[in-house]
Amino acid sequence: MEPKSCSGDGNPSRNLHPSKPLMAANFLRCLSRIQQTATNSSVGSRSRRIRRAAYASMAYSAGHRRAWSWALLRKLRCRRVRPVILPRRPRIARPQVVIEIDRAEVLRKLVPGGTGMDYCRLLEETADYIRCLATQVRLMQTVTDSISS
Amino acid sequence: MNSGSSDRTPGCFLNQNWERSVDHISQFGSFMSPQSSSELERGLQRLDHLTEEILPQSHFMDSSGNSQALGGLVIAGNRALAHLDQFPADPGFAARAARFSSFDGQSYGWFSGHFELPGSGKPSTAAIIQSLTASGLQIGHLECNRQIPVSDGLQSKMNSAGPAISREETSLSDPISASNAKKRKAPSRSREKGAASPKPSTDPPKVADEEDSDTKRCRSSEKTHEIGIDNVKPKLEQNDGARSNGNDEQKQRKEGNDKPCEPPKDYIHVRARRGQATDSHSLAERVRREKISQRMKLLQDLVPGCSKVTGKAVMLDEIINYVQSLQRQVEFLSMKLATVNPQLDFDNLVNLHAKDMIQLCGSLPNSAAYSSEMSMVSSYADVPQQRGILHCIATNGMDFHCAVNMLDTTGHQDLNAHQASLGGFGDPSSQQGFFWEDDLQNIVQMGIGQDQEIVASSHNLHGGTSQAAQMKIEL
Repeated sequence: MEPKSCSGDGNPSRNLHPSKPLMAANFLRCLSRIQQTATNSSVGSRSRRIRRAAYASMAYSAGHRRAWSWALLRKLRCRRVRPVILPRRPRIARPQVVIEIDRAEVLRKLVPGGTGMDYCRLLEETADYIRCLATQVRLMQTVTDSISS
Repeated sequence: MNSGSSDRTPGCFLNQNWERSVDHISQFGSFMSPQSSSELERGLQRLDHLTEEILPQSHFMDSSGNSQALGGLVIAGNRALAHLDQFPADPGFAARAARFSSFDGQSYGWFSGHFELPGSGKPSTAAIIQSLTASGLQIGHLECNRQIPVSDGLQSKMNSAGPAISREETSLSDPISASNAKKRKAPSRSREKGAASPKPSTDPPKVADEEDSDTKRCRSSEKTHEIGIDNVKPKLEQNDGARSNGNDEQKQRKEGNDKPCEPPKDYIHVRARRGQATDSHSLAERVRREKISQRMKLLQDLVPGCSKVTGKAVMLDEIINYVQSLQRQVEFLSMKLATVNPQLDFDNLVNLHAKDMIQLCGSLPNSAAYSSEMSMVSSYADVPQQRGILHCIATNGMDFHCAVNMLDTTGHQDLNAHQASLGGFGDPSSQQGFFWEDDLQNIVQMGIGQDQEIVASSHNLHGGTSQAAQMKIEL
């Protein structure tokens, strides 16, 4: 298996989140747990759990200094208290009358915890969130590659 | 607060309160006609209530909202205080007026510094009115000019003194309003600095004119915060003749006030650039804009393929697309992982992956947080399958001594925080949470000042290999 090095991406240490090993350890631990405990469940539920584990390990390794990780952890914690996944309310399709897209609003919806922030802070959180997400994606990529090889 | 909509929402919010406060003050004004000191006391009490009401808002909102509040108070207050010259000297008046001045130290600091006893009659009224209008507002100027029955000389003095007084005030206001919003103060401080720097080079009247025209210019450039700009300019130009008289006074007053007050040191220092507006609004906005552009540059580096893109809108679009694509990738990869054959041997996987991880994070900085996290990771070695990872991670050249120290000092807070969050962390399976807490207990046991334990465990971890020698652990 070819070792994955990200030197082709430019400066690797800048784009990687500093807590990558912790993230990796967390995620792998979650993965192994999922593998051991949920062999009967469907692919969909397993994938959802893996996704949640990915976000959780990401948020956990980012720590409590970041607003987005804090919001993510809180959201996950609430989910955990009520493990039943609430059925999604069917969305009434409203006619798109949007003339001008408020990009800051869109970004706020994407980044967890972004609704209560001013624009300046939002950009900062987005930067950290992107770093973490990119690290997580790379991590998962290597895992899948190493599994499939 | 959001940049786009914040100008509107606080303004509307504040306008309602402003109307309410104006109503209060107009009642207060009608109250004043009987001219009894007790009524003055009551009226000033109501003013105090209003200032207390509006003061938190002025902290909360940006300076545009604040200026509107000041304008409202100024309008009504002028009407009320026109009657003041007929009052006998009131011992409580000075105290109350001083408290009133603390509403916005920026504007009223001068007021508190120059307040004369009401016994002197008209000059005190003039002082009060001058200070009230000296918040540098057009509204204040307009209303004051129209409503107060003062002499022409006084009026011209007020008009010309207004823009410059707003600068002098800052020197006095610093000790008074140290608790006020820092951001509002810093621009006015730098305004003083910026105004003081050209002073030695040019003649005083010219400088004053420059400052006045500067304020005029900056007012005209400020589109969002100012009202009635067209009315202001003719008013200011009317009094050009009387300006030279006012300028000398301003200069003397400014130099007199500069010396006793030392500017406090805990503000954001902003220097007004040459040829740019020195208004507090624009300076604060400039600071904000610079912050935002700094963050956008950061983001530009993170998002691949954004180096050529210029313009905030396109950049934001790219960022949004990138975040969405990353999130989609996470979903896709999790789906892929879920479909993988569950009989795979995860131990080997972990070991393989550890090697990749080392290559990936080869040149990571050795930060303190990193160290504490690494030490936490090292505790996971209880599970044998993780030993492979730790072995590989350790070869990364971590200073384990540093990690041990961090664990003692900072690890506690981190661990406690993490432990609190781990109650509901991760998988919905209850095993998961329990597992985390077990590990944390181990860490905490290790971390509570037991260096030798850590050394021993680390020796166990690495099986007494040469890694331990590299660890530089000191007892």
